[in-house]
Formats: sequence, structure tokens, C-alpha cells
Amino acid sequence: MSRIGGQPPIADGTAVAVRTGAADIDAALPGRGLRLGALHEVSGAGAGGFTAALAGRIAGTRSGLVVWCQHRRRRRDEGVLHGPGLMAFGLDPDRLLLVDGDGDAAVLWALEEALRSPATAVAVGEVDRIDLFKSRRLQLAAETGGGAGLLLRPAAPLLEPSAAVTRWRVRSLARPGPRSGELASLAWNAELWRAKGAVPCRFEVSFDEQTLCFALAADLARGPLPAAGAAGG
Amino acid sequence: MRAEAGGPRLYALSPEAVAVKLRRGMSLADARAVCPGLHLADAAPERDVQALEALALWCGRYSPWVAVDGADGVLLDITGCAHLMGGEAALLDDVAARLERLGFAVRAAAASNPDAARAWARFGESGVLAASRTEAAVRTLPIAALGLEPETTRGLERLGFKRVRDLEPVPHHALATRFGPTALERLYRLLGRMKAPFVALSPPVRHAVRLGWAEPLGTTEGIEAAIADALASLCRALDHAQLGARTLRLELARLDGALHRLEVRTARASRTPQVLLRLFREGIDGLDIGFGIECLRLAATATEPLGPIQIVSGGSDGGEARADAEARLVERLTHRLGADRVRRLRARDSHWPERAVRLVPALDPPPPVPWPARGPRPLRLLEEPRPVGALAEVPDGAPRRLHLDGRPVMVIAAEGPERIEPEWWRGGEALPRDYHRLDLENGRRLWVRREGRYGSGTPPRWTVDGVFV
Repeated sequence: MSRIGGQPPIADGTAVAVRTGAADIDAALPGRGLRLGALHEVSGAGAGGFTAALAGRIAGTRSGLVVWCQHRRRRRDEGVLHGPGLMAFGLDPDRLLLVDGDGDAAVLWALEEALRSPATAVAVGEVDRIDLFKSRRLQLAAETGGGAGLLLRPAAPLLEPSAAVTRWRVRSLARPGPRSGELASLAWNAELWRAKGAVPCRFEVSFDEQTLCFALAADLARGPLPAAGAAGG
Repeated sequence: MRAEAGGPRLYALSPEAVAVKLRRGMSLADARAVCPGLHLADAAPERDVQALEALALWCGRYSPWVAVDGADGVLLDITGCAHLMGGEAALLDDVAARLERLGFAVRAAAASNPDAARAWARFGESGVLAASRTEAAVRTLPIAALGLEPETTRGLERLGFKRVRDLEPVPHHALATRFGPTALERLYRLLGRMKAPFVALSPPVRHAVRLGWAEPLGTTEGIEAAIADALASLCRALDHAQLGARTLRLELARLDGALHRLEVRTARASRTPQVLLRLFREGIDGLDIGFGIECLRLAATATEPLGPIQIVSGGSDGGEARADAEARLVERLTHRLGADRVRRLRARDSHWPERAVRLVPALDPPPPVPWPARGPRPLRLLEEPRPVGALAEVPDGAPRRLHLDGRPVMVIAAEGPERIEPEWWRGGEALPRDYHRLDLENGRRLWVRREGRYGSGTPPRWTVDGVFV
């Protein structure tokens, strides 16, 4: 996909990890990027946009479907995914397969099916509750299918066991616009609080809608993780 | 028994009731006087119709051309089918024997035209009426065999026409003038001089397989194996015709006469038995098979041309394989969750955000159309915009503070407005909308809308329409 900036896309089939576009984050991740064929978890306020941005990065690298499994309650409270709005995150609405689940069970089932299929580039699942066993099933399904799974859990409880290879807790940052009447690019305080084979760390990261790349926010780059419990969702 | 004006009347009778001289249409009081121990049940004509239709479908085991005939008959076109059952007589015997076992009182007849068969079953001796004998035989039938309106039949009878043959000396134009063209048409059809259209219950399909067993199948595994067999031969036929199935209909006839009907759709034309079998698994799981399944019919009810299937040699050039995998995923999700839960997004030509996207079933989506470039749009659009209190610095400017969930929230950056005019051709009293993107102090980015303006007839009304992050 030519519109994706940053690192040139890795040839399909050989990609094992997707670059986020921010070198520091990639360096902190095992495999120097977001691993394909694996499950990742994003929680916290503003997780929706962060997840969409990650999904956009993955979809720019791997061809195939973008499967988004919506939870009915979230759909009612926060609205339905809007095609034109997806483009800002590098997601092509024509590649989206929108699945509505009545509850966690239906969403998890659909997510597992989607991950097991080689046709899936990235599958997002909005779930409230998931235990270690179910997350292991998803991880195995992702290994089979080769796409990436993203668990979108804005209100995930702290320190719950999971088989996800990276677990992010994000909080969207309020930033004044560069000029009056303009908005700053979206930014998050993103904690990589658990990653297989990596040290937990924290970033202030923004997502550029023009280049569709993550970048470290200029003023504060990277820091150690604060003491557990200090950062809430 | 059925309630009618003037009290309940008899609607249908058992043979025993007929034996004690009860008649249809008798009032209940009269009937009770004749037979005090009469056993009664309420008539349910709608359910009779359903049952008759089910019976007609059941008859699909003999011929693909079946139709419901009136209120009490089923018509089968057995042209070219009879030899499969060992001839016409054997077929009729089989029909009668099976239906009697299911508890029906049956009169079965076969003749060289549908009207003759219909009349022969109801008014003749029933059984097979040879083509050479048809004309002579139907001539001896009563006038009612024409199947005309009761009034017309009575009129003819009053004029002294008792049998079909009595009508023949009458000039045909006189018959048409006096009793309408239908009477003449029916006479011609009965005598085989005019062809009547045969409207089948479900249009026959070109590609279908039927399997029957002497011993019924009693397990889900057995049924699955049978479906696999049927699919294998169906797919061979499809391969020969270079077609792929889009819709398949499976009918499982239970020993007690009930019929299970399953219909599955594919996201992409296919004639791979394993792929199609997977679609049926969901449906046959937990199916009530009663005392067993004795007959299976499988038909490709919708097909599409499908060229020779390429064997993909697991390389990187997996475009075809990926499209196939995609179709399989969509099918699987759709069959479990329903077509209204598994959808794709398509652009629609409308400036109004809530109309700009069409959600279409992923099983059969229309081709994509380009997404028009418009202003910034939120990631999620609320299905019902949420009213919100807003405080703006200048009358028509962006809000500085919102009242969200009962709490004031400061706006730290705002962009807009983007004016969207109502689509006047849709009519209605819609107002122009002004959309703002707002960054709030809590990190959220919202899409808010203002309708109306200060100092005009309609005061401004603010709503949250969407969420960016």
C-alpha cells in the first residue's frame, strides 16, 4: 500500500512483526514491532483510537480482511464504527468485515474464527471479560491464521492473566492545538505493561493521520513504568 | 366442526361418521340428533393448508414437480419419473401405502393429463388410467368432475346434465355463453384437448440428488456421511456443467412423514464437497431426527458459472486461495450469527454522516464504490445523537465548555465548523448542521453538532454525534 508512510511494507507472508513507525517503540518490542500471528491487548480510556491505529498499521503491512467484532452494548453506548472515520487510521473501509456479537461469548467465538482464517489481516474484538484459557485459544488461533488479534478492552481489570504477547494500557492525552482552530494529532500515554520477552515501559506517543505513523511525542519520550497501580485506566 | 352464521356446522367427517349418514355442512344440532356420541374437533383450515403443503413437499420424493391441488389434493407430474419406482401403478401403490401408514385416507390416480387425474381420483375408480382409455373414462364421470364453482355445477345439473358426456352434444359456443368460458376450458382440459399450465410448488432445479434407504438413518454421523455422499455426486454434476453452488437446499424426510428443510448460502460459488458440507454441520447438529431419516434430497437451487478449479500450489501467489478463505470465513460467521450480524461497509452518496455508510450483508455485498473525500469523520458514530449542554464564547462559535454526563468539561481545542446543508430533495424540515471537532481536557475527542442558531426561530441545539478516540 503506497499511502502508508514510514518503513516500507514488508513483503506479505514473510512479515513477522509490524513496525509502529516510532523507532523507540519498535526497539522496545520483541521482534522489533507488533508481532503478527499473535494476540495483543489494549485497555484504558482512548483504547479505541489506539487500537484502530494499530489495526491500520497492521492492515498496511498484511493484505486481507480487517475483522472488527463489536460488542452490542458498546455499539449502543459508543456508536457504530464509521467507515469514513476509519480512513484516518489507515483502515480501508472496503476491507472491513463488521461482526456484531450479542455478548462476550459471541464476540470471542467470532474473533477466534476470524483469527484462524488466513484471510484475516487483523481482527479486533471488543470484550469485557476474558480468562487465561480463552486468551490462549485466541493466541493459538492467531498462530494458525497468521494475522494479528487485538483485544479492545477499555475497562479491563488490572493484572488479569492473559496469553496476549503484548498488553497496553493507554490514556488519551489532551493537548492544545498547534494554532487556534486546529487540533493536535491524537496522542496517548501508552504503557506497555507486559510484553513477552521485553521490559515493560511507557511512552507518550502520537499518531500522525497524514503519514499514518506512530511517533513519540516530542516533549516526553520514554520512561520507566511507574510503580504498579499508580497508573489507572 | 366450524362456526358459521346460524350456528356451528360440520366441516369434515371421518369414514365412520359418513357411515352413519352424517354429511358435510350439517348443523351441529342435526348431527347430534343423528349421532349423540359424536366426537367433535374445531376446524383449522389454515393448518390444513400448511399440512397439505408439507405433504406436497413430501411428495417431492417421487417427482420434482409437485403442486397443491385445491383444499384436499396434491398433484404430481410424474412424466419421466414413474420408471424409477417400477412403473406408474407401482408408484401409485407406493404413494398410497406410505400415506396410509402416515394416517391419511388416500385416493390416488394417474392419468395422461392433470385434470383427468384429478377427476379420476375424486370421482372415478382411482388407479392408473391408461392414455387410450382416458377420454372414454372421463366422459362417464359426473359433472362435478369438471371442478367448476358449486353454483355452476348445480346449474348444469338442474338443466339435466348429469355426466360429462352429456355436455358434448351441446354446441360449445352456447356452453361458453351460458356458463362462461371456464366451463368450456375445463371440459377441453379434462378431455385432453387443451393443456393447462402446471405451477409447481417450488420450481424444479437442474442439479439435485436424492438418496433413500431401506433402513432409516438414526444418527447425526450417519446423516452427515449421507450428506457427504450426496454432495460428492452433486458436485460431480456441477463440475460437469462448470457451475458452482450459491444456494443449496437440503431436505431430510423423517420416517414419520415430517420434513426438515435446511437452506445454506455460500459467499462464493463453490463445488467443493468438504466446503459445502461444513455449511450444513451447524444445521444438522441437534436436529430432531425422530425415528430416523429415510430419504434425503439435496439441490443446488442457485448456481453461478465457475470455471475449472485451480489447484493452488501453496506459494506466495495465494490470491485465489485467500479469496476462498475469505468466503469460508464469511459463511461460517454468517451461518452462526445471521446475515444481519456479519456485514461490510459500502459508501453511499450522501453528505449526511448517518446516511453516508451502508451496512450490507457480507455474504453477498454489492461491489465497492469509492469513498468520497469529506471533512474529518469520527471513528464511531452514535446511532442516536446525545444532547449536550454547550457554552460558546461567541454566539455561533465553537463551544468552550460542554456539560457531559452531568459534569462540566473544558474544551481545550476546537476545529470547525463544517457546515452540512440538509438534502432538500429528501424533503422534511431539517436544519443546516454545523459540526465541530472538540478536544476535551479529559483527552477525549468528540464530534459535536449544532442545529439552529441564536436569535433565530429555533434556538441552538447541541448534540454529540460521534467519538474520534
